[in-house]
Amino acid sequence: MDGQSLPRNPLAYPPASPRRSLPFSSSRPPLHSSLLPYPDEVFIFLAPTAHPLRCLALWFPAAQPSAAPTYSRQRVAPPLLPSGYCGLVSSLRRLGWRPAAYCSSPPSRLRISLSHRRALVGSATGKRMVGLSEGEKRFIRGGIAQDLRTDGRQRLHYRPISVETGVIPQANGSARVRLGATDVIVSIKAELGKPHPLQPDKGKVAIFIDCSPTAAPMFEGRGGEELSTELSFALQRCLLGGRSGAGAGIDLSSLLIVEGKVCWDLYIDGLVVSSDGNLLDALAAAIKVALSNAGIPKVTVNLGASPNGQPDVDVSDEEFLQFDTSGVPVVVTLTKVGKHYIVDATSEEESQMSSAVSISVNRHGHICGLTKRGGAGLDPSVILDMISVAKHVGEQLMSLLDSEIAAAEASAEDQ
Amino acid sequence: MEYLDSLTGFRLDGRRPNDMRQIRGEIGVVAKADGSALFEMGNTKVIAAVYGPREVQNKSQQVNNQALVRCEYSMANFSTGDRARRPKGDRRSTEISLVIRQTMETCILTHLMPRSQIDIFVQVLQADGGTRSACINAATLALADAGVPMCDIVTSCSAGYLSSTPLLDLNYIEDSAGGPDVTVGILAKMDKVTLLQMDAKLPIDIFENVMQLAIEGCKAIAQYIRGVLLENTKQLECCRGV
Amino acid sequence: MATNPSTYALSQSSDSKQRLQQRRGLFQETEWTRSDGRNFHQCRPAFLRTGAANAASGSAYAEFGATKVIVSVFGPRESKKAMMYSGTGRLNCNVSYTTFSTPVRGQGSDHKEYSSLLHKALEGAIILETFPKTTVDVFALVLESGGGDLPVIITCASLALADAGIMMYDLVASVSVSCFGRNLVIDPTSEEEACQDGTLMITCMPARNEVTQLTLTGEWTTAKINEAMELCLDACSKLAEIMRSCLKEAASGSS
Repeated sequence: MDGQSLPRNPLAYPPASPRRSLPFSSSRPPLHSSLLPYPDEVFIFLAPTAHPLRCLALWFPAAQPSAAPTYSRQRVAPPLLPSGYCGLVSSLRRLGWRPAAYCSSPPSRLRISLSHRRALVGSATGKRMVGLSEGEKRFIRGGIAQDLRTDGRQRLHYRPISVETGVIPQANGSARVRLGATDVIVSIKAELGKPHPLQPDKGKVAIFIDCSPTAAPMFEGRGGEELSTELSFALQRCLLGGRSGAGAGIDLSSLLIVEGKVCWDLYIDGLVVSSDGNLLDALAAAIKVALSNAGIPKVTVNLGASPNGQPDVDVSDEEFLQFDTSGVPVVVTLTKVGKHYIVDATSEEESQMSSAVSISVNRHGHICGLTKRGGAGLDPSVILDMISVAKHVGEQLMSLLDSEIAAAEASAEDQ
Repeated sequence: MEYLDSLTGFRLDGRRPNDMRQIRGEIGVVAKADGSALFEMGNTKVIAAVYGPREVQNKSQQVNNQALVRCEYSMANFSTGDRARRPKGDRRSTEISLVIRQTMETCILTHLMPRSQIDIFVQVLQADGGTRSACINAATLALADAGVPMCDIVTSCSAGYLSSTPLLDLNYIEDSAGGPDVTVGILAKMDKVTLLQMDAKLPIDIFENVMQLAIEGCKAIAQYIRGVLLENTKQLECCRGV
Repeated sequence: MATNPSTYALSQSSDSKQRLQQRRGLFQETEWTRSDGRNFHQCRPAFLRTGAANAASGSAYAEFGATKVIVSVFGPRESKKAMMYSGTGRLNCNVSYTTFSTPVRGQGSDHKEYSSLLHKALEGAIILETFPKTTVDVFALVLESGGGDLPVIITCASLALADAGIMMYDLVASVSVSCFGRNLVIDPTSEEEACQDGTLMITCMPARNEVTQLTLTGEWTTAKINEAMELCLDACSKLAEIMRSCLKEAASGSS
């Protein structure tokens, strides 16, 4: 798009004001010019924050390739454009500009990204609240109502998903899945164990999720525990099927070695490295990929070798059996914001949700598990509607994942 | 157990005594953090994320003339060979958190950021010896990525003494041999030691050799880290079309 | 109790294992009778009482067959100092089991999963805006676990909240169904739960026709979900009637 023909949008062309070169281009060179990539052109907007000394600096690349197309997608109706600093920030973000600088008192040169101000605050519920201003909230909700979200997606579009397998060599299988800025790693370890006395014909699967403090400062110490347990239980519900084992995504009887004596214990460990919403979908996808990547060592059983009834199990180092992962479902979380629901919500969008429903769908289009998160009530007909949407989205996600798995395996073989 | 091949003088993983494992650093692995980095030393892989400088969360910890630096070290369940649920805040991770915090505090110009807080979170994805060093190196990269003012970059490397030979950058097997293990952290340009740990006895003349070896390792890492940072800066410049 | 008292725990466990195997076979058939003589779409008789604990600001006791639950509600009281300011009230839920609640002793202690599910089920019904800066604590204690524990806990908790005079949009009632092959069995006992193929639990506010909590495990087709949801919603509205009458009774009795 030709820059000249654009309307003279004050947001796009910040007036050259005397404030423009406040802390960064002072005559003194920065202390660590080799380390700090300070831009030499900085646009600074004084922010009406509570702290009088604080101001917000935004920089954006002059020749960012994606700037023009993003701009052309812009469909912001004038009354929707929020005023004030927050509106400015979201508008710039919508245009694809990355806010990167935030300075406290001028003499010290700090670079704090915008996310600081929105320090994730955990409430007792484990529901995360993002410190958003009224304008930003309205902007997000308005965008969802118009089917154009802040990152340019439509309501039922996923963020680009990237899949990597074999990231943890020590594990039997592992995968790293990235959904936008959400980044999770899942590892699968198989250990020999004893079957549960009430279910002697089945192996065992345990799912543990851990939220690393690298994902958000609120996960520091025991802060992430609540969310971790919630995610672990939700995944167990979505993947492990009913009490009798029917409808389980993982075929537990395939883990059995000797009935009542020896079986494989499958430990699925998930780690949230970076969190930007929709953790459950990302984790479930990572589990699916990791399972397809997993190799369970082949075992030979020597029954009757020992008199005490404990069979002698010989674990092979070379031969591995692949898992059948065709039955493993994917989880689709539909987040309801206002009157509409969206898939793959970012943490900003999640903060605006009234409720969310996580639905796990398998290849046959059957529902394998469902969890409702978030408080507000939903009409039963809305839930049924969500289920049918989730089935449709789940199919797409499933085929996308299948192709990603194939691609990841192919690239792993190349190496 | 033989840690050095008596014929060739090679170590168990095929390195020479003063060879370091392959190192790799990557900046910006956690999108939501203010600064983040991944650092690999052989099979040891850690992620560091820096949040801050920001307002002090717990007002009682606020320091009026300098920044508060905090650090938390955590290990993933799958990071070691045998799977173990490890409780958060066990003694070992508390100790390492403290070591990393003290080391990083020396290089951060904390007096420039009074009444603010810097959080450094390190997460071990894979542990194969030298996690302490890898964490410090990752934290340095992450702090630089976050634009936190520092007087120099801190790098760390370990060295040990097995089979009467000083060995650089021990892996897990060598580390668990029970021999002396010297972890050194230095400020590369100023040539100052900020961290020195050893948990065994060693004659002082040998110790000097081992420490010298570790310092050499630190310097090599510092050079690499500088390269990574420069590359990153160039890329940022390129993105902006300068 | 209907079952015969058994003297040896050991023999019982191996016995029960066998019985479980038998039952599992039985449940797959199209027609079988439930151990307590109900038909598939019949709930257990509900016994509800408010004011079970004196120290609490509100409490309730619920007994559904063998499942016995007591819930006490404290507050609204001042939030802890460490908590940040919040313009709406906070809800804190905790579910725990007594050591003697299950056939195997010592399975007690806190139940994190149920605590979080209870929280989500109640959160949507309480008008949290009415008590900013304060916390309401809901403590549920399962005295005896006889199947369908969570629905009973939720139902009982909403009654206790009403007893404590906490503003709610509506009472929440909760019912679960189990799925066995092609059959849907409402309000399962623990024996049935152990062999179920899948379960669906709904918590709803009948007057507003809103679902505040819904969990589902096992493999379901959409048609079956439909059927199960209708069954549950119907049962929920009936259960809410009983809850309402229990509250009315308590109110008329005290005045």
